[in-house]
Amino acid sequence: MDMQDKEFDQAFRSKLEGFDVEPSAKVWLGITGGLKSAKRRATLQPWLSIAAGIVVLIGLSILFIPKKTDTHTTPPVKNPVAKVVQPVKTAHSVVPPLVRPSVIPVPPFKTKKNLEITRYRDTRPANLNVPKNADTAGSPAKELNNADRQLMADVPRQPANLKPVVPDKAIPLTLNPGFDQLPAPGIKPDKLASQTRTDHQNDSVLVRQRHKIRNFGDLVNVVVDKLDKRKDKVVQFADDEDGDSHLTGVNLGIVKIKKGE
Amino acid sequence: MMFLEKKYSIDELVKRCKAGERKAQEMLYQQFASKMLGVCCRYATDKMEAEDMMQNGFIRVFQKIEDFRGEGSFEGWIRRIMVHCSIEYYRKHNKMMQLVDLDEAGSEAASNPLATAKLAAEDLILLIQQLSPGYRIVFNLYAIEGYSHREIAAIVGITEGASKSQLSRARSILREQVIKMEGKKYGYAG
Repeated sequence: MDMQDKEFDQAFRSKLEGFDVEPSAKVWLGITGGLKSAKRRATLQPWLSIAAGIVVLIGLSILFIPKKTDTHTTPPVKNPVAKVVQPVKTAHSVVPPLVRPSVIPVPPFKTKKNLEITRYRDTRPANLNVPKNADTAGSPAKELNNADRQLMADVPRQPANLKPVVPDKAIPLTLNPGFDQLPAPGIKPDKLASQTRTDHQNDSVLVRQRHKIRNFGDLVNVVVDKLDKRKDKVVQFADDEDGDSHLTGVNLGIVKIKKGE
Repeated sequence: MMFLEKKYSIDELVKRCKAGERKAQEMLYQQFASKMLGVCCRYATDKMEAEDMMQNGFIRVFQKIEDFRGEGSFEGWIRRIMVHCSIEYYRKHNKMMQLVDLDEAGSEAASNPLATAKLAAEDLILLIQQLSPGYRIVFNLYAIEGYSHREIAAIVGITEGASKSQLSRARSILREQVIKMEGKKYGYAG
């Protein structure tokens, strides 16, 4: 910087150093208004933060708290089988118009073995209208009297008798039902439905008991199953044919990844 | 120590302002308002804009007065806040560093360094206000406030080289304008 620039700057500085301008009255009003609004903002800020935190918590809980529609926790009234059977009360016909559900609910069991058992079990309510068929015409159940049938129906069936069969379209969805699986004429459909539910619960308990932790994936599945009651778990493992477990699904609420979908 | 009309020293007013007393704030404002508006006028294009800058500056002063520890003069502290608020004002209003000037001066401007001698402070303020914001801020910070190019670069957010070149251009334009104004006022042209 040369001397001329320094002198030029100095000339400006000396002239402007004591330069005063009288402000208008509105400036002070603006300052007091600004200070008040800033103070109000400062007092509101903690409350706003708390409110925002609550909103975030509610949002997270909606995403992650397990839904009540899980098959293990479904209240009896909401059972689809019961819903199908209920119309009998008002229907004029004697035989309940049982309808095969278009979508068979499959509980979220992981292994293939369990899946087969579940499928079989869920198809049973549809078989309840089988007695009308000729398949059962020669069954010994015909020869039993009503009292016997009542007794047989009341005896809880042994889950060990269940055989895991995957239903095929060509084959009728029946496991050659014996008389113990046929609805006795004296039993009301409501009772039958509740009995079926009990059987479901017993079966699932049995399946759980049978399930052994054989690898890390099973361990994770058990822990996640306890904590996460949703249909699609946070993390899901499945065993392959060799018995090795592989990650098959991740559900982070917004992001869902499922193998095979 | 400086005393005011009601025998309140600056230190005492600052103390009361820290306690949030509105009356003390008003007294402090009255003490420094005209001087600080003079500072803001150098960074603004007109008085209204300067008042807006000063208003923001005083709000910041009263919000941050807790931070003033009494090291250095209180006036210098307020002045620095006013300068920063003026620059912030331009940042907010997107007027920063516009290099278009109303009347681009040549690189060889009038070389009379004392050309400002006959002009009043109001005239010089008017000339500074006619500069584009980028030139005006750099010239004010360097020539009037005494900041270095490195400090200006940090405050304004430009490079040191840009600060130097903008100062040089600002000086050239101002020299040109000073000569023109003096010619108009006193009947000669350089």
